[in-house]
Amino acid sequence: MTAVESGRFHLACLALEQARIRAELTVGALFLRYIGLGGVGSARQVVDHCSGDPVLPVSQHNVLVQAVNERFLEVGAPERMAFL
Amino acid sequence: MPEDWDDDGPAAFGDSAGGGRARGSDADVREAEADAREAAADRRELRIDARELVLDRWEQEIAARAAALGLTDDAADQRRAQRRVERVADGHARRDQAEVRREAAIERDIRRVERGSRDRSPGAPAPEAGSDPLPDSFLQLAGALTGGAALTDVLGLVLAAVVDSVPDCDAASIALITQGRVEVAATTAPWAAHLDERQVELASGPLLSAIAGDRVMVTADLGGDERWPALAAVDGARRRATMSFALGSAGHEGGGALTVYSRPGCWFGPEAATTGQFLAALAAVALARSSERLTHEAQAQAWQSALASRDAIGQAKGMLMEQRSISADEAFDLLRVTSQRLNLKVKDIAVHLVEHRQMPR
Repeated sequence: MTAVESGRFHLACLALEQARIRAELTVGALFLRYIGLGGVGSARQVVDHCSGDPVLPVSQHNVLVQAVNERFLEVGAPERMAFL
Repeated sequence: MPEDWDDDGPAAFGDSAGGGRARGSDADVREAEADAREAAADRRELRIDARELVLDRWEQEIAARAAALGLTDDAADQRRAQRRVERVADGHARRDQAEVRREAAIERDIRRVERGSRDRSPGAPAPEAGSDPLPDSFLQLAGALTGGAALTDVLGLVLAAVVDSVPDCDAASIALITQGRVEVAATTAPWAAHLDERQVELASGPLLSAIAGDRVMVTADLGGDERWPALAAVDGARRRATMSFALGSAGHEGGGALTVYSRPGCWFGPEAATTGQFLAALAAVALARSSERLTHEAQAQAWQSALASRDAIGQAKGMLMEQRSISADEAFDLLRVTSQRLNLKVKDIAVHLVEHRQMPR
C-alpha cells in the first residue's frame, strides 16, 4: 500500500468510528454484527481498527462498513458509508 | 439481630443458660487479656530488634573506622564478635517465644469458635427466652432468592414477609420504573396498588420522592401530610402511615420503591423502619439479579442470531464461489452490492440465494 493509500485507509477508519457513533452502536454490538456478516478479525483488531489503526485488511474493513450501513437501514437513517 | 439484643444480656436468659453464658464471658475476658499481653510482648520484641539493629550498625562503623586508622585490636574485635553471636542467639530465642505465643493465640481462637458453635447448637439454650421465631415467609423468601425463583415470585414473598413482620402493617406494594413509567409490579391489596397509582398520577407523594433519590420516605398520615397536599383528597390516604423505600439507583430503569401502608390510625416505629429497609434491600437484590439474567439471555440470543446469520452468509458465499469461480472476498462484495442496490440486509440476500439458488432481483 502506498503512503497515500495508507493515509486514505487511516481516514476511512476514523470515518468508520464516527459512523459507528452516529449509528449508536457500541463497539461490542458492531463486533457482533461483523461476526454475523462473516468477519474473521478478532475483537481486539476491530477495536484497534475503529480507533484509527488500520490493522484489518480492506475486505474486512468493508464488512465493518456493511455492519454499520445495516444498522442505518434498521433505524431508517438515509446515511450510508462508502466502501473501500 | 435487633440492635438492643446485646443490651438484654444475661438477664434475658434462663438460669442454666445464664450460668453457661457467664462462664463464656469470663473466658472471653481472660482471653482478651492474654491477647493484650501478647500484643505488648510483640511490641517489646520489635523495639528490641530495632535496638539491636542499631547496635550492630554502630559496631560495624567502629570496626571500620578503627581499621581505617590502623588501630586494630584483636581482643576488642573478638569481644564484639562474641556479643554479636550472643545477640543473634537471643534473637533466635525471642523468635521461638513469639512462635509459642502465636500457637497459644491460635488455640484461644479455636476455643472461641468452639464456644460460639456450642452457643448456637440445637442443644444450646435459646438466645432470648420467649422471643418470636422468624416468620415462615422469611424462610420462603430466603429459599426463593437462593433458588433463582422468578422475579414476580420473589417480590410477592418480600411483600408477604413485610406484612408478616412489620407491626401494624396493613398492606404493602412494590412499584417499578418500566420504560420510563412508574408502575405497580406487586401488591398485597388492591387498595394499596391504588394508592401507589394515585401518587404517580398526581406526581406527588412519598413513593415518588423515595424513587427520585430520597431513598426512605416516612409519613404518619399520607392524606394529611403538608408535603403532599394533593393526596388529601385521595380515598384511603387519610390516617394511614406509610414508609417508602427506594429500590435500586435513584430514578433509573429497573429501580422503584417498596411502600408499606399501616392500618388506619396506626404508625410505624424504628423497628418497623429497620425491617422494611432490610426487606427492601432483599427486593433490590432480586431486581438486580433479574436484570443480570435478562442481560445474559439477551446476549446469548444475540450471539445465536449472529452465528446463524454467519452460517447463511457462509453458505451463500460458497455457492457464489463455486458458481462463478470467484474468491470469498469477491463473493461477499457481490452480496453487499446487491444488498445496497435492493436495500436489504446481506443475510436476507444470502438466505434467498441459498433457497432459490439465484440472487434476488
